[in-house]
Amino acid sequence: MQELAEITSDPNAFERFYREHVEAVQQFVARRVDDPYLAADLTADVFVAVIESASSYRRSRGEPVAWLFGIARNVVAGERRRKAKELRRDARIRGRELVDEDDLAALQERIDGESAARELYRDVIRLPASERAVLELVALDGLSVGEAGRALGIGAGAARVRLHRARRRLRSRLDLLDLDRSDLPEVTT
Amino acid sequence: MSNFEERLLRELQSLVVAQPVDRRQRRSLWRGPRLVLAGGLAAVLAAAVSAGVFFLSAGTQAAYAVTKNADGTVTVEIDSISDAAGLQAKLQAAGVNAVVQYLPAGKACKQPWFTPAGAGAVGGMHESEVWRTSDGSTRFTISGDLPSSTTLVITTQTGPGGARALGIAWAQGDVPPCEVVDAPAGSGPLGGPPADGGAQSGQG
Repeated sequence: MQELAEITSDPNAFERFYREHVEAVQQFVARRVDDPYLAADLTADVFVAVIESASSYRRSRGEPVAWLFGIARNVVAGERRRKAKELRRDARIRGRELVDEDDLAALQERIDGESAARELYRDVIRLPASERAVLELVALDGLSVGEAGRALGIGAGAARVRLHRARRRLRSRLDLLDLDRSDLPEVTT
Repeated sequence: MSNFEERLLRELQSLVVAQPVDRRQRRSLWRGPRLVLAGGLAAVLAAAVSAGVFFLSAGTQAAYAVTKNADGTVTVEIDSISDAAGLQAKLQAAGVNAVVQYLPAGKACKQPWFTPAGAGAVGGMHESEVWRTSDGSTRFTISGDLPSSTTLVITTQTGPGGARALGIAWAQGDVPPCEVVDAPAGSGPLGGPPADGGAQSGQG
């Protein structure tokens, strides 16, 4: 496995990591926001946070993708908490300034492709925070329950309980989206 | 990859390259303090643009750096809460009116301590930024053309779990001497509400 600490100081190591994960990060963001410029900003924010945090990554905290999605969750949640635009000017890289017309079409296409997931996300964000976090990572982002638990710093058992409760609350909604069986697998860790 | 992805990669790589060698060496010697950005204080510091409260863990080595940049700005980096007088002197030598007041655990400066500078009065502070660096220290850059009536105030309190909070604010006019009192229960470092409410944990 690539040493994540390297990506904080080695541009080539960072590039490998980036190329491997940039699509997943963009899809993660597109499942949560419908503004392509904001999606570009958040994608940049996630990778800036990765650079700032990679030196403290520990294998015990999960596979890199679980760790990455944990960071992405914090970044998107931070955006929701952010008041209007007051902190956006502090962003180290303004993703939206890197977007041209072709990019805009691609970003919009990705966002359109994730509309069903985003609809689910809007229901999910109304769940209690602890349950929401597990369900998001499993149902929207495809992590296993064990990986979701590691991304959130909780045990697999606790993650399983929270997922069960979240599924119960959302059952009617998930039935509509036909996600209950296919996207909420029985727990394996 | 799309143009956006390629451009973003180049921008991000510049951040990777921009990390000075000496910081990487220092990181290998000791675990830097963990910092948490507290969002709950934003309302208290509404007039203090780009100010904030940052938690550093206790017990780290004394370290700070004040760098005057070619463009006239001044970059301040604080690695641990110690040697307030030294940091204050460095800031003043760099042309920044500053008061650095680190307090023992459980203590605070009696409120009101100083008059917060309004956003309009601070002018170039809009360009200031406060960052948590990859090894957990706090870094911010100050505009080089601050009004002489503006004073940078850096202070502390003990936060949740014994972590010490580094508070950064801007005062209008002189800052009177701090009258050290017992920290009122539930107060923030600058006399506001608790800084732990709504805290946003950094990764790391």
